[in-house]
Amino acid sequence: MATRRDKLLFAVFGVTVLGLLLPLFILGWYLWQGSVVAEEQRLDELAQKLGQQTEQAILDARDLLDELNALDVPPCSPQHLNQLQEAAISRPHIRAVGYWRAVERECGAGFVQGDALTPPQASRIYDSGLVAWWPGPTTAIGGVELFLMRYGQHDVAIDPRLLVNPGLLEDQEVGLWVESMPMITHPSDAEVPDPTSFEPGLTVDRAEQRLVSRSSLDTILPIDIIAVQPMAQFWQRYLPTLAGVGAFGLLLVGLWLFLILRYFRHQLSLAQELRQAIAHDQLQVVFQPIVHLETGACQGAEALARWRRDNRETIGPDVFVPLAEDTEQGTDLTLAILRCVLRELGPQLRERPDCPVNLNITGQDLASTRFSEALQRELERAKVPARAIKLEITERSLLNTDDVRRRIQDLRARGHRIAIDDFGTGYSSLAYLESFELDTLKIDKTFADAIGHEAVTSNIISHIIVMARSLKLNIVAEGIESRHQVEWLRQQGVGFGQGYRFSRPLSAHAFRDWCQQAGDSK
Amino acid sequence: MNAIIRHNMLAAIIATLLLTGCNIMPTQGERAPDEAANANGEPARDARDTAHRDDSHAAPRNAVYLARDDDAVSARRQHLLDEGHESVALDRVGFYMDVLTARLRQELAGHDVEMEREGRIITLIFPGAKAFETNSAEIHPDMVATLDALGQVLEEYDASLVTIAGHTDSAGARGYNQHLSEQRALSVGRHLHDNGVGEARIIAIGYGPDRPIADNDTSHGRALNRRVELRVEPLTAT
Repeated sequence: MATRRDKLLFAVFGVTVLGLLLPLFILGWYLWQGSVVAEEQRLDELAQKLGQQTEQAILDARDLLDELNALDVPPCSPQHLNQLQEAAISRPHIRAVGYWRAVERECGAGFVQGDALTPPQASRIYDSGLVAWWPGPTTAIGGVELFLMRYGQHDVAIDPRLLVNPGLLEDQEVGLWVESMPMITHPSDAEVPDPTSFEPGLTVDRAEQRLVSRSSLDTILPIDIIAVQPMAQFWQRYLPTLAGVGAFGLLLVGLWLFLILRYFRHQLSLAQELRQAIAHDQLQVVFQPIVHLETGACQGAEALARWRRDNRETIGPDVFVPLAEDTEQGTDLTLAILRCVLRELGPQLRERPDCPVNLNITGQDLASTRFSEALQRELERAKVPARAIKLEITERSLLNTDDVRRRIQDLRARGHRIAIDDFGTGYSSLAYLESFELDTLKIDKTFADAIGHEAVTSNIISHIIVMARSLKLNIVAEGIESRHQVEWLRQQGVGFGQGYRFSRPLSAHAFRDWCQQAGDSK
Repeated sequence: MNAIIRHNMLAAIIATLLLTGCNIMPTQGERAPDEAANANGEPARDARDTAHRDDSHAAPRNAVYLARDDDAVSARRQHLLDEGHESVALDRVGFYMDVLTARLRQELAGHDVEMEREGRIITLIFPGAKAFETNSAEIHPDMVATLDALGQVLEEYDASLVTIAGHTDSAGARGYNQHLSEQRALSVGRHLHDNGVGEARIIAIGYGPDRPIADNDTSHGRALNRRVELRVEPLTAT
């Protein structure tokens, strides 16, 4: 029985933990996804802005070259130089503008001079006649790799670092590719991975502990932007949210577990306390009289256990009886109640064994010979005859085994009479009951309640009564509260009754008085 | 680079289609008499006459050098360098040809000429039927503007050698074809010279039917073979 209880405990525990961890896990996953999506959007926006900036700068440079080629001024005249100067000044990213004849730079504005303006191989020669040299070692001046464009007689040299607005970038490393050729990295010495090795969107690169975002732009020029962010930064950004919600979730789980543990500890300590109460005979017993319906004479009583804990809290049998059974002290409890009955009502039972006390016994009591032997011992010690103790077994604990049947037979043979308690709430058939040796049938309170109210149930009680009579069993109706019920039952031929109509459960002393007042049984 | 060239060719083809539009059929029709004339050999005199007339009309144009073979072209190139002609420094060659390529693309966009770039060499191909009158070395009026634009660019980029090669198909008499190819090359050379390209940089050569680029058994192939190829290379000490 302990293992069953343990299993139950573990199961409840497991289900609870799982039931809490699962939503927590889903919540965590959802948050993580949310964070990743948010990050993806953030990086994508950033990349789109960068791409557009770059594209704008390129288009602007192209338009500028167009304008300069269309100028109708003598080459390298003051007006021409003025125009070149103005073009360079108004665009911070343009380092130089030049006018060329074939491969000779005739004149220009800006600070750039030297071989960097005549790199040996163009990156792109467009059909329009536009030539582009992407930033690289051959376009480097003073460590800055320039982006060069030439169209017709004019060229521009662009400092790609100034195409990127560092304000947008925060601490990310960003690389920008135009037509699959590297254009800019930020910071300039950053080793940004090639866009071809990543899918568009956000990739969590666990090996390198970084988030890599790839965005593409293809309005005029195909542009790829790769933004790299160390995981640490990502965590820094989203950890407060993740941690906050995670902690809250854990707190809930913790609280829930705490409550469960407390409940189980309470149950366990209750079981322990019950053990103490049984061992020290601290249980009380009250007696509810059973009367003859014709005469109203006392016909006996049912012993009902009460348990008052130290802190004055009274616990009902509906709690402690199952608890005792679950913790394998069912028989101990029954015997404790028996001892209590014998202690308080022993003399009367010796004198009047024909006014018996009903003792509730459980399935556990019938499962072994221990109860039967202990019962015999206790009765001998108290010198109470067996017929003064009637045994009540609930319909549901009446197991259909030969052992149980034999034990009931033995108990009966010793003089005990046997009553079936709470009859009608189980599913016992007539044939089933017939297989046991029984004396009394106690009809459950629910049937008495239904008398005069619910036709169907009333019909059932009639059947039960007929059946009990055919088995020659005495009938006790439980839970009688009104005169009307008494009348009806008497008419049906029910012999005995129990309930508040006659008396509430009484202490031993009060019971003795009540019996005398009500008149003796015949 | 290949992709760019292919791209450029495609652009040229599209440009051709746009320019000629529905004239594709008449253009093909124009080729037929050219072919037929070659076949019976008779109009050869006309062509020669035309060429002669060109020579007589503009005496100074004779200055364009006609190379007998490829060796003569190499010798001429070396001669120019030895004489101290304008040349490109070795480390500027790439830049020079890139910028020149771009300029040619810019200036020749929309013109009926095919352009290829391979390493340092730029090749322009003028289809015979469009560039010349039938069976004549006379430059077709439609091609004049193209050659003028080309001449302007080449004049600016004066450190380059321009080799003009005339080609014919295999139909007709060999001698006639050889002569026609030479005269057509010379015609182009003279036109460029008229546009300011230094005569020293221009070499004409006629290959006749010897260097076909397409199958001479089909009329389409023969049309492709009738052409003038203009090769631009940097003058540089190699």
